[in-house]
Amino acid sequence: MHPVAVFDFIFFSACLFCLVVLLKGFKRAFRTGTKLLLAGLLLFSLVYSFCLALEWSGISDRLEGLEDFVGAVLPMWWAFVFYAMIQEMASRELAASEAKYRTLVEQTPLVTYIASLDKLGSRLYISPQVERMLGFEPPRWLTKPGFWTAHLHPDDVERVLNELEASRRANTKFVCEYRMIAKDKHVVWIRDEAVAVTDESGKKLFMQGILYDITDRKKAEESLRRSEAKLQSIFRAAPVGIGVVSNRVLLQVNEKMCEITGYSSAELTGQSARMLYPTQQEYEHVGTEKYAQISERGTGTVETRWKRKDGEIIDVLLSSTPLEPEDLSIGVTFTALDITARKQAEAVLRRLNRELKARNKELASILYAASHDLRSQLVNIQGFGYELSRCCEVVRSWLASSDLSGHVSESVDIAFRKDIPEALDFILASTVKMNALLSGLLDMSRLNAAAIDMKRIDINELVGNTASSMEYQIQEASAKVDIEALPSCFGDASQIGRVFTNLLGNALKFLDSSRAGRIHIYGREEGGQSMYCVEDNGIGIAAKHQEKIFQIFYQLDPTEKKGEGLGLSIVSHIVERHNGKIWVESEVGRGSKFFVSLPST
Amino acid sequence: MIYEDEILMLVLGLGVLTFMFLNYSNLKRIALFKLLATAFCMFVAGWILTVLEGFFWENALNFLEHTCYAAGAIFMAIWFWKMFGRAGRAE
Repeated sequence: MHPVAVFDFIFFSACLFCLVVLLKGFKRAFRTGTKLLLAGLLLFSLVYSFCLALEWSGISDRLEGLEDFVGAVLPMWWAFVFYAMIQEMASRELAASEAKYRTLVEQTPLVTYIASLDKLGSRLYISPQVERMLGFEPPRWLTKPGFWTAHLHPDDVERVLNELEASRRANTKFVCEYRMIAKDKHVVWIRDEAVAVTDESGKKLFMQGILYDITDRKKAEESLRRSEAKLQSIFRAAPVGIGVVSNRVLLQVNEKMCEITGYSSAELTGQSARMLYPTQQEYEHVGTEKYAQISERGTGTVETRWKRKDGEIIDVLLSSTPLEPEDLSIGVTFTALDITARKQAEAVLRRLNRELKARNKELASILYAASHDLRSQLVNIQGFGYELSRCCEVVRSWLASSDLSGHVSESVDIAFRKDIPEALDFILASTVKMNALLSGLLDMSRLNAAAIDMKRIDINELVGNTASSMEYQIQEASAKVDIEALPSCFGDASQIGRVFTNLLGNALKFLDSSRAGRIHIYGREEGGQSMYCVEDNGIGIAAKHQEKIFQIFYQLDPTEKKGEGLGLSIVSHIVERHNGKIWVESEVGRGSKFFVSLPST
Repeated sequence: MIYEDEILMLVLGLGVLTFMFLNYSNLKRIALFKLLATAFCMFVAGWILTVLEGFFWENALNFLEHTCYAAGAIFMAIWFWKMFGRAGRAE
């Protein structure tokens, strides 16, 4: 075989191989947009192979003209291939660039637009985000001139168009915030920033800008403005002085602050707080104390003294809290309350309290002395009364046994037999009564003086012992006493014992004789208090008496000789000294309930 | 012996070669373009040789001409294979 034929065979095989590869990869090549290139190369391969085939098959002689023509234009196929490649590359790069730009423009949260230079700002392009922002599809913006102006808020139209015109004239950036009416009629706040795009000669071509939704920001600003207004009104109207300091320099003060200090706002602002303190020591003390509290608890409260502009020293209560807990240098807000009057009142109150205590002590000693001294005199009266009574008896016996009966006037006889004994009986009964009263007063006097020995008391044992000691009276009254389990309490056992003795004694004393007496003692613990109740089915207490029965010497029926009106008064006194409470619930004819509440812890 | 169609082919081929070099910066962005350019250069060399064989060393230059065509076709086949053959299989 001729060596040239081998190379032509190689050439022919390579062309066939290319053909196969092209056909196999055509799907992908077609999709990637290189179809022109492929078609060109394919045609070249086919045609040239065809020419070779013609030459070697011997047909070329008959189709010589065709082979020559095809062979001559072969370079043109290559030219076509290179040109197609360049076009394809440019086309693909442009498409990629456009895709990038479009992605950038249409994926940002902003709306990008191009507007004509007419007065209505008609849109030539607007990115699709506008539909999400205002509800109108982009084509509506582009097809209707003046669409933008038509959807501006009526109150903003004039201002916005004026600003647009002004920026065009001044060749400056158009920046404007305005409201637009969305498709669903709600108001959207927009910030519009646009610039005029010019050609190389400086001629304006169009406006290019961005829109972004600032509704949330506007709402926040409005909310902030209202909040600021509220704070300002509080600041102005507050009945206490309010101010802001930074590094102890006054930054802002309200009118009340000026009123308290006597300085004007201008005189205080920018000055060190030192000017308000009478001494450097006081100033430093407040600083140390207040800032220590702030760093510990976040707020600081200090009582101090200030010196007014007129030199008067006043007492103030300062409360401070930092604007930013982490950084005190930003500022500390403080309130100043003028407590001068309160301090003076407290001083007066303390003085009066001291005087009252002294008077009470004096009164108690007078009461004790009077009771004691009166009682000793009463013993004399009682003693001599009995002596006179005995003497009267002697005189009456002597008159009865002597012969003088006929000689003694009838009046003398009546006096010794009736009047004098009756008078002496009254005197003696009164001395007994007065003795009991004085004993009661002495009791109360001793009660006031006695110290309270606070201990936990087993009330079950204490009430049980009390009932046992009164067993005789219980049997005399034919009463039945039920005692439930009682909670313990804190108190002085002897004094609390007296409380229950008095209450049980009273219950027995005022039982209803028409029915069997029943006394029920029970209790419970709640809210740190032990509450006890002594309930009876006695005669009961009318509502009008219920508040008075704890008063000293008060008796339901003074004609009945059932005591001196001191028992419940003493009980009430003891309970009060234990920080407890006593009260009664009663109904006439049904009985009474006496409640005692004492601390359980 | 000079054939008009071979002269025409050579002139057109050199024109395309010039075009290729002028646009080389664009064309070189095509993957493995050097292979394709080499293939084309081989073909241009063949076209030159086929003209020259009409003047001297006819047999030798004819041999070289067909060698160039075969080499150009092989370079072109390799480029096709690398561009579409393997990628086609990968799909």
